[in-house]
Order: sequence, then structure tokens, then C-alpha cells
Amino acid sequence: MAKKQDATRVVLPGQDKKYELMLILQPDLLESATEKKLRDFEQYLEENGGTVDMKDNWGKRKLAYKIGKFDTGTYVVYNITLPNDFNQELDEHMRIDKDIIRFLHVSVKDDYNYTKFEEEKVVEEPKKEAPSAPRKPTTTHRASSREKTTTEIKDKGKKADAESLDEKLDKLLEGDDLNI
Amino acid sequence: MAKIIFSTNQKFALGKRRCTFCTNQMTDIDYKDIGTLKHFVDGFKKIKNRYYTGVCLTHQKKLANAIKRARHLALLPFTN
Repeated sequence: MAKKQDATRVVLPGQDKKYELMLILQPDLLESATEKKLRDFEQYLEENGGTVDMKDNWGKRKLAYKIGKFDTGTYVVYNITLPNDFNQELDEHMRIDKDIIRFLHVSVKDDYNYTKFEEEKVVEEPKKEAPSAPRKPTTTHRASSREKTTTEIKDKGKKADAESLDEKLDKLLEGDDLNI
Repeated sequence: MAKIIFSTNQKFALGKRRCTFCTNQMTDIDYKDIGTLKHFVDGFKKIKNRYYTGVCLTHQKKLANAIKRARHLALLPFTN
């Protein structure tokens, strides 16, 4: 049993349809060169019976993986209406172009509205301060404790005078509490 | 607009499992919406199974299509 065909769903060749285009241009081009490139591209679309409804330039973005030799690319999104028998020619035109690294050309519904999404920002944690001097490998627990005391004294010595330290040492040595 | 919280670990969820896209009345899933697509991708950047995410079949198909489109445009990686 044959299905009933909707009169609205039948698409004749040459009829206009809505599409979304996404281009990735190579990042080495200058801003003026990319603008000229896009202007020429829009002109090419209009020459072949298309109209540009919306254009959104995302700017330079880091790619998730390398494409050819490029790490970054300039993303541009177009919403266009085109005659439906022009798609193959457009795809070939974009494939031949060396400045276009990648492209996506998909049809959208007639009531499609372009929405701009924002990526979730990752909150960077404050980095822990790295220790100023690398710790020396310690053999025993006692040795490590000794080292700690010496480092503390050194730190204090920078601030306090060396003479005051000498006096303190003398007092300690003269004292009767010491049992050497 | 209130922020949508995607619960992608519904395997052990109590009660009835519900598709997050159905509850938020999202008919279409856009390939440019990387913030939501990231929730449905594995640690190895593979598409998560419906068994774990609790997404309904119609939305899972749309989701897979959107993720594949995003991968083609280098918005998402193929592998980690």
C-alpha cells in the first residue's frame, strides 16, 4: 500500500531551501584577507541564486585535533537559502578551495532559528606555590630533623644580625645545663 | 533561562528514569551546543550508552548525529 504524499513535502528541482553552512578557514590568513575571502564567497552564493540570511563569525578557535598542519582555525557560520539543485556544485567549490580546511553543509527546517551557545567556562584553581629549593634526600629521621633546624636558623639569620646569633651561642655553651 | 542539569548517571537512579531532553522540552539537539554534548561523552570521548544516560531513543539518535557533526568540525575530539 502506497503512502499518501503531502503536497507541502514534495520538493521540485530548483526550489529554494534553507541550509546552514559552517566553514573553517585556515588561521594564517590576515584579517583583511579573510574578510575579502568571505565577501567573495557571499558574492558567489548570490550569483547562483542564493541569499545570505545570517552570518556569524566566531573568530579564531583552537581545534580539538590537528587538521593537516593547522592547530587553530577561524569559524564562520552562515544561514542561507539556496536552490536545491545547487548543493553539489557548492560542495565542490568549497572542497577545491585551499583556504577552507573543513566545512559542513546541512539542510535545516523552515522555522529554524539560529542560537548562539556559550561554552561552559572552566574555573581554574589557583596553582600551589612550588617549593623554592628542592629537598635533599634524607637517610634517617634524625638527620632530617637536624636539617630542618639548620634551615630555620639560616632563615632567621638573614633577618637578624650575625652578631646576635653568636652571642646566643656563647650563652648556650657557657650554661651548666649542657651535658656533652 | 534556568541552567539545565544533565544527569548522565541514571543506571542506579531510584524511581522512574526520565529523558533529560524530554523533560526540558528540547526537540532538536544542535551540533554547536558543545556544553551539553560534553555530558554525553565518555572519558575516552566515546558516545555514552543509553543504558547509562537514560536518554530516550529518539533523542539518542539526534544526540549521536550532533556529536558526529561536532567531531567532523573539530569542536569535539574523536579520541582522548
